[in-house]
Amino acid sequence: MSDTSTSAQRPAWVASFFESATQQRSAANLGMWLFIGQEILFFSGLFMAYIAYRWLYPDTWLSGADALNKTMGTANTVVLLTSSLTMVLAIRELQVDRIRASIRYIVATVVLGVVFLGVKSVEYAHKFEEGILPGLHYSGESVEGMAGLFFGIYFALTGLHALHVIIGLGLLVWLARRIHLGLVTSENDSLAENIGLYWHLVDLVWIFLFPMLYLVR
Amino acid sequence: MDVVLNILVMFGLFSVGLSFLVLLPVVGKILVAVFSTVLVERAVSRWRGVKSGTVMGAHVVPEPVVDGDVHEPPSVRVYVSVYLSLLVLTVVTVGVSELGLLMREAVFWAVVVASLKAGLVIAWFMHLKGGPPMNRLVLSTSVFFMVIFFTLTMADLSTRTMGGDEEGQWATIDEARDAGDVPSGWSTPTAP
Repeated sequence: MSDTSTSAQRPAWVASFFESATQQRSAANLGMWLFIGQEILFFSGLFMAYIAYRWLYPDTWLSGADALNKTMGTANTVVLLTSSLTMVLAIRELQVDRIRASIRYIVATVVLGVVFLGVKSVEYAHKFEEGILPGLHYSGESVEGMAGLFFGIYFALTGLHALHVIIGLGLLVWLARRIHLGLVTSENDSLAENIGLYWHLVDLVWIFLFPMLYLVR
Repeated sequence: MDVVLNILVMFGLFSVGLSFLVLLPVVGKILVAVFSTVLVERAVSRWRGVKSGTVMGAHVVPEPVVDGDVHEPPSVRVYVSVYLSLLVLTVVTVGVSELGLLMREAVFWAVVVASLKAGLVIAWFMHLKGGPPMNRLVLSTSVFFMVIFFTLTMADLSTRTMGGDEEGQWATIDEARDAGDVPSGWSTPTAP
């Protein structure tokens, strides 16, 4: 109340403990990057398991990669890369105040995410039919040696990645709604930026998962 | 000797990854130059009759240090070029996997191509390039700790001795495997 000129410059969506919208935006951005740093370390544990056991059981890993469907893996890579493009375009459209186009791109991103999960579930279904299950439940015939270990790591890595995709889809739907309601705008776009960053992180993890699991033999 | 080689390869691979992140602005510029954006930019600027470097200024002209308030999004063309580069690199990595390389070479090229792809996504899609320098520090730090994690774990694992015979000769996993004598702790469990 003391100063009307500041309250005029200060939009309602800036929290009281921030000096300015700029400061709030950079704090949100930095927070998201810290979260991404944490996610990288989180996934690095699983990657470490992959590297260590690949080193111990190279033969299992050779035949394990052969048991995976390279075509589906490649298709999913293209789908996820395309969804990253639509995501980044959605944020761009939002920033230049083309709200409808932005929401359309978000919907496209969601559709591509669902396609990714669809391909993934077809892949999983094939595996389950062949008795390819993680750990001691493995009863398939295609892979020699420590097949249970290989597929334990395969399901843990791809499963956790798929969980991230599912969470991302939920966030995108929420974001589309908030943009539609005018709660996220070109001025107040931190939420869109951060959900975009999250979606690209999901893409990033897959960029490493794909060659490690499907290609290298 | 083989163990030392393994550690060196690991170190090499991940320091490539690390320096890639630290040098992101420079490397990113070279990457985009390689993947035709600059060529497209030149063609477009010539076509429009403007000075080269003004059409897609976002990456051709060095950006001022952003204080968080500069909100000029990169052009659609930049995003599409990055996307096409990512597709090309996907084709490359699948193609390399069809060559039937030795495992170590295959892993090497897979990691190199994946790092390039990750670099493109991080620099342009995640706006690390031109963003606050603090973000780069956060990412580099977490990658640095990942490198420590990978390197020390593999250093331990690859120099570990497994069991021992009557004469007290200890064998590394490699030697035990070569002798067809994988120690019980590491062998494949047989079905009951």
